[in-house]
Amino acid sequence: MRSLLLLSSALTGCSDYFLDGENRLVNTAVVSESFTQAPLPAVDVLFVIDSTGSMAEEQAGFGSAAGGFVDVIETLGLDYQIGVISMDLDDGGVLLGVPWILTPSQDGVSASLARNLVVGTGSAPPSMGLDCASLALTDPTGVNTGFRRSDAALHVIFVSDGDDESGEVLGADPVAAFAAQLADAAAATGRSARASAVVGDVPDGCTGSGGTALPGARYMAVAEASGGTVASICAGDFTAVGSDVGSVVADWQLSFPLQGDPLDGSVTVTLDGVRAGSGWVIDHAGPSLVFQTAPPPDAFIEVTYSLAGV
Amino acid sequence: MLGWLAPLWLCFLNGALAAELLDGWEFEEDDGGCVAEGQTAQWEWGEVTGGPGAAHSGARAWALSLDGGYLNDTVDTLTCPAVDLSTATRPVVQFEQWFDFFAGDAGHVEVDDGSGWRVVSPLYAVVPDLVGQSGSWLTASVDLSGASGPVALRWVVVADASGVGGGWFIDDLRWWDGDPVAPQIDDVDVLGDTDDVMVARAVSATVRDDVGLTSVVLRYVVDGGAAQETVMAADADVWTAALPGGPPDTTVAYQVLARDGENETVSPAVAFRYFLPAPDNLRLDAQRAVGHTLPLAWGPPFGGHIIEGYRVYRDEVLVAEVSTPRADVPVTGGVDSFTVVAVFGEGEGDPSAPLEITASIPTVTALSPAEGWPGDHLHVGLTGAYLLLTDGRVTATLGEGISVGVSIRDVDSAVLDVQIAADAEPGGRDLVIGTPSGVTTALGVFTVLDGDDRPRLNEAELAVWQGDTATLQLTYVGEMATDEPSVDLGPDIVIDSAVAVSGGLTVSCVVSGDAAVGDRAVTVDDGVRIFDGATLTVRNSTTQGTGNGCVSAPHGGLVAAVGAAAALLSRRKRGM
Repeated sequence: MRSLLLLSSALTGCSDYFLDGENRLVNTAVVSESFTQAPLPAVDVLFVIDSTGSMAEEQAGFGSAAGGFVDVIETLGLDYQIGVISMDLDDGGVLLGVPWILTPSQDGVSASLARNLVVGTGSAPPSMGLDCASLALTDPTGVNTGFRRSDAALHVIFVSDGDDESGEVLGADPVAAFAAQLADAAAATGRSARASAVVGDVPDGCTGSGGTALPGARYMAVAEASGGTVASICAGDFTAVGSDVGSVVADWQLSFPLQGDPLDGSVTVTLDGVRAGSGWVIDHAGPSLVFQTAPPPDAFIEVTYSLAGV
Repeated sequence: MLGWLAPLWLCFLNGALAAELLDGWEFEEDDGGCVAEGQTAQWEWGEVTGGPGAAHSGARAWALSLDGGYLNDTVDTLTCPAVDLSTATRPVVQFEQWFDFFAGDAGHVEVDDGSGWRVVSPLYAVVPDLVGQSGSWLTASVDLSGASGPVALRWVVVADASGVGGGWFIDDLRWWDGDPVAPQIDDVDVLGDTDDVMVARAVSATVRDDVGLTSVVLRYVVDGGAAQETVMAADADVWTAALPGGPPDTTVAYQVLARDGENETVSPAVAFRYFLPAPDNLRLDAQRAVGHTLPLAWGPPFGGHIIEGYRVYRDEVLVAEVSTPRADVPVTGGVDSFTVVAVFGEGEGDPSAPLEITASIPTVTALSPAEGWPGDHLHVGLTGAYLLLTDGRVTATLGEGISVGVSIRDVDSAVLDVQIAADAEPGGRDLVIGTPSGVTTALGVFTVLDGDDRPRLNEAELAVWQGDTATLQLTYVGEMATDEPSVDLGPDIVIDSAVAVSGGLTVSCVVSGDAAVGDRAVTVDDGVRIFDGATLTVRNSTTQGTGNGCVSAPHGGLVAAVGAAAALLSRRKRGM
């Protein structure tokens, strides 16, 4: 949301005065615009599911939590696309299920996601979640066409009761390579690119209703490096896990376009009524107000500035 | 004693060698007076529970032993009472037997016509000894020609010291005079399917009879038609005849019939097909089954036949004819079953193994708005399924006189920027969407309306001064989709608020002192349609005469608001 408040218009009797870049007095109009921070509307979510034999109960549990996950991201108002792949490199990172890209305009997204998450348990080790996710995102064959959008944030969610054994695609240091791939994705879209991990606890693993899970150190490392969340696959309550992951999926706006081009030095910014002296810049090319760190959801942002030449 | 055998006796009365039943035992009501003897005397009469699981007829028989198995390292006999054959011209004894002997064990049959026990071989048997397994109940016949007077019969089992089989079972003993034994047919050629279409095929069989064959024929049926017969020619015991060749996809069933004048034997039927080979490895030649048509590919059939082309069938309906092993075929979106056949000079070959495909059909489910007037500029929401819309790689057309831009939201939805030329022909239009995955056409989904009712701004002479804060009053034709439309007055004019009510639009704005002087178009976007038709003039503040630059002289619909009063213009509006 945005609003504009005309505070005053300049010149004698109703003017403000301001020095321009050449130290000349200029008359100005002071205007104010306000915004309410809202969730980023576009995010692509990739679930990467372990498909080895030990994952049957976990897959079923996670599938039943799909509704909770979808509820979370729909409540956040996200324009989402959701895809699911397995950790079996033989599957080549191909998005699974029909439809293989879930969007808000489809009917029964929760049921579709629940179905798609059950990728089967017929894969033989090794489980290569990072390699598979990399293939799914680079999509060398075009089979996942349309999944990644040029203006969408990205969130990759790894679900496994073992650790990653990648290397065939990402090389000797798959954690670093995949983190770099996420960073590249963020740079290309201007949106965040994160990973979350629903894996066995580090360093000792864990035991839950689905059996024993080995520590998912690599997946955790990627999640922590990218700002995602980590949850235990042994927690049993997959609805809570889905909700937790869903809340992290949201990505908030950094840049707020302005209607006018502010005079340098004339801008004041408040967040929820508190003046913010730093942490933002004016991009005159927009023009726009750009924060270094996104204001939290529902934050009320007010920017007051002067227009030149009034 | 004769029981059910009596009807059989009547059956064999015809002809010179008609068989007359002299005597017999079913072993159902009694043991026939037979006696178990030998080292362990293990033959027993009663209800069969072992071995074949049941007697040949009724429930009871003689057995070694009734519950299966026998003792090791023994010689035992089952001897039945002698029958007087003094009046018989060609005596034959028959019985039913089932046997399962362990390796090293054997059985045989002996008769005694008063000159002592002698081993006899059943008709058609190579050797007298029974070894191994019979597999089922079999009829054994022993020609006793030459015997006269009372003749006794006994079964002898010789078991060694290691292992036992399932035993030996005897039932339905009959003594005949005549020819009760049907010809024996063995080793009938079993012909398999062949791609040598129209080529005749020979069938041979070994046929024997204990008295003499009167005819041997090859009976065959082509594709379930009427049975036909051809006489087989003999070379010793081997009889041969040829089946006529058949066209592709012809099934021929055949059997050998042998007659000895009294009895007839028919071999089990055998069937084969004349065929031309099928393509193999029919497959979807794409990674996803999405599209109105899908590419199929297959491997050419084997063999030396010259392939002239291929035909692809969907649920047995021809959908494609091609010359190479690949075709784009239409799909329904349900479960489609495809087969492909090769076409040879000799005809159509066998179908491939079916390939079932459930395709995802790209579909436009909604277009909103779905109509517009000539001259309109619209934001048309497009929603579909499996459209696979991809940033920067999608085209859309609505036909002549309409330009369409595409802004992708996700794989299934987009916003079309539709500009209809003023001279566009009214009527229905097809939406054609092109993506890297293919082309989707939605027939008649958009209509260019006829008439001059296009919603638009009314013409007005509006003017503001550089540095103004101003309120503009405009009017418009038609309905706006929102009462807070987005207004664009061009560079350096900041819109504070815009409120549309009942055909009137009030716009509050601030004009930068840097705003370019001159005329500019006023555009109002209500989210569905861009209203145009009005012009705003920005005037140079230095020519404004008395007063200061923040005052605008009213011109036409322009209302100026000045200074602190303008603070009241604040109004939230939708951003981003």
